[in-house]
Amino acid sequence: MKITFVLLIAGVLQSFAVSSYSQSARISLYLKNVTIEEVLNQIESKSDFYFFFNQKLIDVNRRVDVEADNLPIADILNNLFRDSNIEYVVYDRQIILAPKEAAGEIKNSQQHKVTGLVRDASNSEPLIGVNIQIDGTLQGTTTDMNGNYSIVVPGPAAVLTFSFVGFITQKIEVGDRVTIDVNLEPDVKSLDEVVVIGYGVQKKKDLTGSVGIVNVEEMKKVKVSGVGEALQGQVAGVSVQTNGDPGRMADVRIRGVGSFSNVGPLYVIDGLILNDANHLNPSDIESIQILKDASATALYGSQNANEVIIITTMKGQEGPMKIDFSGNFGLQEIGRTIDMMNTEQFLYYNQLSYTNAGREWPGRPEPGEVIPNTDWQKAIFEMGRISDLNLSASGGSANTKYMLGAGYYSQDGVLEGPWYKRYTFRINSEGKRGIITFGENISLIHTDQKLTNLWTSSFTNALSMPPVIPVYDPNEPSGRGGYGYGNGKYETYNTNPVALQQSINDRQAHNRLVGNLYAELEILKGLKYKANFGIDFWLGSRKQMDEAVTMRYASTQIKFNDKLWQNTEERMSLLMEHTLNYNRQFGEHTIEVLAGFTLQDNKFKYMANEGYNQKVDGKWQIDLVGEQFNMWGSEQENRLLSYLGRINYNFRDKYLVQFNIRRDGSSKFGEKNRWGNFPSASFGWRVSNEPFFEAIRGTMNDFKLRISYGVIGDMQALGNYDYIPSVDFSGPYQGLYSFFGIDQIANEGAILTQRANPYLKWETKTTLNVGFDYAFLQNRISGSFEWFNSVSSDLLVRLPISLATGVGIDDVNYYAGSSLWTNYGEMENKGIEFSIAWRDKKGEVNYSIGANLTSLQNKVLKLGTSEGYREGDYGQVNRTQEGRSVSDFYLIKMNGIFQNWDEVFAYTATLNDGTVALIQPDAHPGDVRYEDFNHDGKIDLAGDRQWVGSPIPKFEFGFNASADYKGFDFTMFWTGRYGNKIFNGQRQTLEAMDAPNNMPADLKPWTAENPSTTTPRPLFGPNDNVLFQSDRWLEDGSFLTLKNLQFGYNLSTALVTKMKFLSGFRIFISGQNLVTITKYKGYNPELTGNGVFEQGCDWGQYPPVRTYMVGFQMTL
Amino acid sequence: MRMVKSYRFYNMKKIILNTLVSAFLMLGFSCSEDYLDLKDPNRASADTYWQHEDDYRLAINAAYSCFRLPGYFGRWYHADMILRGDEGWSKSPAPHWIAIATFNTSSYSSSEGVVQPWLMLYRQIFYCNQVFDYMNERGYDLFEDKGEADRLIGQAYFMRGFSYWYLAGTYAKGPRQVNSTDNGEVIEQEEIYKQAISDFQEAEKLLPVDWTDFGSAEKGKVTAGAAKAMIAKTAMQLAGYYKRPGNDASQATAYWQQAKTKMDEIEALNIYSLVPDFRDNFTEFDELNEESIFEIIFRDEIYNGKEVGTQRGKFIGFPVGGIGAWHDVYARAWLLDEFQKEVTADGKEDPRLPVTLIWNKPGDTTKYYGKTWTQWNAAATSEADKLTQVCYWNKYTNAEYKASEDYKNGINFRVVRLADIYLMQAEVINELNGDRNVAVEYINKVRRRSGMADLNPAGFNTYAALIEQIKHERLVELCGECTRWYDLDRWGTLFNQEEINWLALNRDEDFSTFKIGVSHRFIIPNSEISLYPGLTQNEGY
Repeated sequence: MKITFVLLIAGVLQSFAVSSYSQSARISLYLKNVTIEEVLNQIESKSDFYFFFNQKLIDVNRRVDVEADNLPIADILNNLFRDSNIEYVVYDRQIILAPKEAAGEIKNSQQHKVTGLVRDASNSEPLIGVNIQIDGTLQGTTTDMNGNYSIVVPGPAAVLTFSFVGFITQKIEVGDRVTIDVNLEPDVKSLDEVVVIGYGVQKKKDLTGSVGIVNVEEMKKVKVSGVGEALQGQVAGVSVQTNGDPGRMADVRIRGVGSFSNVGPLYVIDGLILNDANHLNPSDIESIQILKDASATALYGSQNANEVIIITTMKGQEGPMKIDFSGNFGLQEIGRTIDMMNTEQFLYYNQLSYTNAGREWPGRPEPGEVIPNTDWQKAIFEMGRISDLNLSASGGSANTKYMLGAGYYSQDGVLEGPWYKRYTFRINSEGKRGIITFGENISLIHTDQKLTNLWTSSFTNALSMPPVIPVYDPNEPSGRGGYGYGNGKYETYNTNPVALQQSINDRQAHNRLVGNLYAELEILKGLKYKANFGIDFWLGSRKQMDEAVTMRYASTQIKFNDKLWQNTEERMSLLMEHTLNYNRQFGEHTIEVLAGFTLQDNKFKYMANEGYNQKVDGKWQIDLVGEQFNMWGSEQENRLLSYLGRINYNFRDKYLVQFNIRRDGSSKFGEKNRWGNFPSASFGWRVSNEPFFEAIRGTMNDFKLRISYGVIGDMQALGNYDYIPSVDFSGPYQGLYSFFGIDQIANEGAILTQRANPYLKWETKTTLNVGFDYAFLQNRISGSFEWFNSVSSDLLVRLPISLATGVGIDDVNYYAGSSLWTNYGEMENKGIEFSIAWRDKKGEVNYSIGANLTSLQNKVLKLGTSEGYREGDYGQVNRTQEGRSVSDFYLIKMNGIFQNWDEVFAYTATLNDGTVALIQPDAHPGDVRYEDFNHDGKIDLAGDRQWVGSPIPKFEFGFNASADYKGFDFTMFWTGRYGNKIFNGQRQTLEAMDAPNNMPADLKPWTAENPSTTTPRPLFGPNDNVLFQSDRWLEDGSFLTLKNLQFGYNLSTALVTKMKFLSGFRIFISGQNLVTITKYKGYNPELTGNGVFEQGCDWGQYPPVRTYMVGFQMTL
Repeated sequence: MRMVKSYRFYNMKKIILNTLVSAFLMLGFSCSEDYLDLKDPNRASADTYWQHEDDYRLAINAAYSCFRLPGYFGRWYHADMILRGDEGWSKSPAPHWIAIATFNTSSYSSSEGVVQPWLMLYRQIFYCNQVFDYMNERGYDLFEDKGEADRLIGQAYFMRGFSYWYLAGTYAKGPRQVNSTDNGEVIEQEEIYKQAISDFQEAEKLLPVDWTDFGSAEKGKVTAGAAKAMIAKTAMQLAGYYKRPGNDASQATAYWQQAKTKMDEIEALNIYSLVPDFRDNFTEFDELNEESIFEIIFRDEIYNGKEVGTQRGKFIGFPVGGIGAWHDVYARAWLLDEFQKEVTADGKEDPRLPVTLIWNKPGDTTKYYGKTWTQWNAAATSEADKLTQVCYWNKYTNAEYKASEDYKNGINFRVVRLADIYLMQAEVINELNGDRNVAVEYINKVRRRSGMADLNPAGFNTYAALIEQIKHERLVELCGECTRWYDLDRWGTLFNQEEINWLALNRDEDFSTFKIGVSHRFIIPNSEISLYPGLTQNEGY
């Protein structure tokens, strides 16, 4: 499980065990009749040694013959002084010659004290505060302001450990030496860390674009189901909303909404360009980079304005085969349940709601009647289980490396019914001979799942279903299923959530092959040609078996037919890339040039069938449907041809320049505007390498300024053939056929039903990014800051066109279809991102803490509707208006509760014509008072909605801390949001107070005796209290959540090695979503699945759930 | 030896380099535009379509399909015409139905009843215009049988004319679209009617009198006779238009005359006659019969998973027990009085009454969706479920034939039938001050079929007497067939405050909110005003 990085460090380690030098350093000498002094001079010139001696005590004029053919220096010296009273003592590279009686003294007096200077190997600067410890003891010291140290050691066998944050720890055996100078190598992970950028790698320190690097080592400690979840809170600018739905990915959004179409970021996995990373087993991940600005994303940037996530998977390392096996097991629970009224409480308010409406209460229990008291949350929620097993083998020789991995993951979630299983298999290998490298990364996945039925939210129904209805109703008259549902006595519009999840068996399975094959040829030194071929083949099927049971859907419908719906889907994406890369250093100039072209082809096929009434009970096959109902099928294809180029120039590691250009042609556009050019440039200035910086380099170790500017494109919103005016053979819902003849038979029809815009072109996003990276206090503190401003323009929107042009095709929603894709929209996103990390070591405790913060402002500049605004899809809750941020809440404001008739009658408005109007003439004490925003004397949606907040947080943050001590490790990770609003649609149902829904137990509806200022009176039937989408259900969505807490223990090396075959063993226990601090009243303030125009609405989506896990990782 | 080896290797390297770089460049730039030129595999694209005769046949079928849909005869044509006229009213819980009935559509400009007809008629115009455009460009040359090409063009003309006729009678304003690519100029009622006449005249020239010459599968398509009938209808509307206060009444005569000529030609074709049983015009059992001049075909079936019947019955019919109609379009009570003014020659109830209306006739044993009126009321569990109105629509519903009413009523809708033409003849003769004896004979032809006694021409020898009788005759014969609104418009009723007041008081209280000069036209869907260049909202909305 150890993360390895590709090391590009050249050169040899500077320090090695000197004590062995005198024994191992060999020289040849052929000298006749020379003085000892001459011999010593020769040795000095042929080795690193130099001699010290007192000429008064040592006779160096004695003449000798020396004949040494590649002999150790020690042997030469022994021979030289064999018959004299001179003894020699080696200290480091110094050889001290002394009379025999004096030499012993030197040894004895010096053996216990060692002094030296510790330097940074990369720049020879002294290091302050380096920890020096004698192994096996508690004795230690640190270097002083000049990097010097002094320590008394017990004897030559003592081993000193030099450790310093940001540097590789060294152990040195003291031996004979009294002076030990050490050059510590900087830890490449932090400085020479290499990151994967588009079509290549770059040293992290040379980056000029905005690239967020995920700490994969930390990430992988957290057991997650998918990549999206893993990214949460890790990198500034990345907003992730998770959910507990088995098999469902988290919503990932980078730097806000980049276009009006709801698509996530682009994933580049081992060079393969994909729209999702759902197939990826998180255990296989080696590194994740998030490309955030135009310069960083430039080489992929024509495919997604929602930024790019680059992932590489694990590769084999040189060495014997390493086998990793891990097993993780977890339990999941909803985490929070909402205390709802029991039957007694419910009946009280149910009766009151009828009484208040002046109606007879149908719910009055008969004498002796036993009314159920169902806890619906108990009925639907279960303890979910997770199993996650991974096995991998990797290794290789200098020229061949391989990695094989297999994984199994299963999860059944907290909702009874659904489950998900994933089987993954991976082979990554690479072979090299001379100038040729071949390799491949292939992954196979099979998933099988029973989908959570989202037809109506079971999370809402688990709350709103009245307790008086039984889960199972043995007396249910039709006998089909026997699930409880509402009746005349206790009317409800809720759907029995248990029935829903159980009676609809919605199975989905897919098989997917994702892989690439590449060949690289090093034509000349520094010039490489690479060909890369990728494939993403996806075969999916879905089968919805919908049993006829008596289950009331949200309206009044009761299912009387069983229904089978089955589809198959096939996707095939092919990628071919050819790139030439030239990388060369000329003195102080380093240059990298990349040129290439790529071809992409994506195909999609779909077929579905639907039928009713299976002929054989319990058998679900299209062959057996009693009534064929419908079938569909279509094929899609799109292609992309791109040329790309990049120049990287680096002068003295101080001035860094990068230019990118990408030219793309997409089959989604017509000939007129098919091609788009997307250039970008970025500059970096490593201020800390300037001479004037020297003065503070001791504290401020690294400082780099970056600026980038560029344009990227997008066309995701567009269908594959939207620019082609095409003939429609199916037409609107009712079809294009007409009936003629004596027998009045159908005659098929076909015609152009829609218009097309042949001038469609690329959406563009122009981003200016300014940032700096910093490190100080010996790299203990490091981090970066970014400011960015991006403007997305020519956004593809469907501009409505007049029905009088003949294009209205949909008879149900008559304006659907009567619109024309047009490059019209414009949006701005700007923000700041800040990250900071602290790493240090105290004694044997290594610890680090890190935090990141993102603040984003969004503004819609041009929207493309005739009204200048657009409502969200969920009724009149959100509204997107030019000049405001996307999807702001636009609601009627609640202004308290009428406490008495006086207040009702006092609530008036004076109209323009002088008349005084009662604003809520139908109101009654206990009803909600709404703000008459436009002062027209009445409350209506048309005039009284107002801006009440945004679903976009003012800032988001992540905080993590980790520490290890001996074999123990600890990780903790928090994430949060501040300043966003959530429309709690669940509460809108629960607190409708109109009788058919259950209510939270702590709700105290208004009564004359116990007046409330927040909750109106219960009132049967539709009434003003629930009529309006008001801010009564708008809540503060800020939260802070403990995403992960983990304790692990690594069996000590000594213990492990005793077990021969084992080289590492770790066990851990962890918890996810353990604590959520929020004022939000719903299940969880993290919401997935909302579209661009209806963000921040809680309609009972699957919330993130609490997970407890234990696991082990062993390495053989 | 070593020297040679490295020399070779150096050369080798150079060759490999050169080859690779040039291969790279060739590969990169040989990828032509063709690679990006993808055709939609699911649909034919416009530029490659229209190459086969069949493409034009399919286009015409598509144009016909518009008639079937909700914006047209599938629902809203009936609903709008009946609600706006004095025949109907609404008790729908959905407010836009009542808004249409009470001429109060301003705040419901996006409602289906206002938008759907506009959408549908312009859609049909767009489809027809495609046929004209591509026939001109290449299609006509493709056809070996130019006669067939002409007939296809003729049908397109008829349908476009019909859409304009519908537009003139509803919104009375809109763009004149005469090709499929450009935005036409906005015209108003007079010009729209003239456009319709012009289209019908082209259709008349090109369409056959009878499709049976071209095979039994063609029956039901529009004919020269239908074109003549529509010219007559449109000409009469134009004549009525010129008779309105403030317009040049002298222009009316030519149009009355044009109508007369066309109706004479229809009779001269000698292929139409009244069916013996009035009822046969409104059931599935005798469709495309000898009385029918222009008929829309519906089927009570699911075709390709889609309902292909009319929804009329579900929205307009007898509202019982969830299996009948909704409460959207009721019949006004005065209709019953109008029927009951006269009995047949042998003293019985006018046989057209039970075909047209369902009312609480004492002793009525007819079962509507399986129960009599009385049984339905007995079965009702609440007041709301009871039949409390004087009468409900029966015409064109399945109340007497099926167990329930659904969204795929299969009864063809007869847009124009001979009885209508006879009564129009009588009206035109009256307007032209022709021989009123002849006019009365036309009326009697219609009356005789239903067993009503012949009118004595002597009693109808003045314009006023005859028009009054025609108004009654049209009501009892054509009530619920969507001619009423055009009649009220043509007769000037909609432009006379006194008559409006009388209607509001005696027939349809919805007329109390009728605004002269405003309500005779529909509101144009508001969104269209901002989207279509030059289009302005009708005055008063």
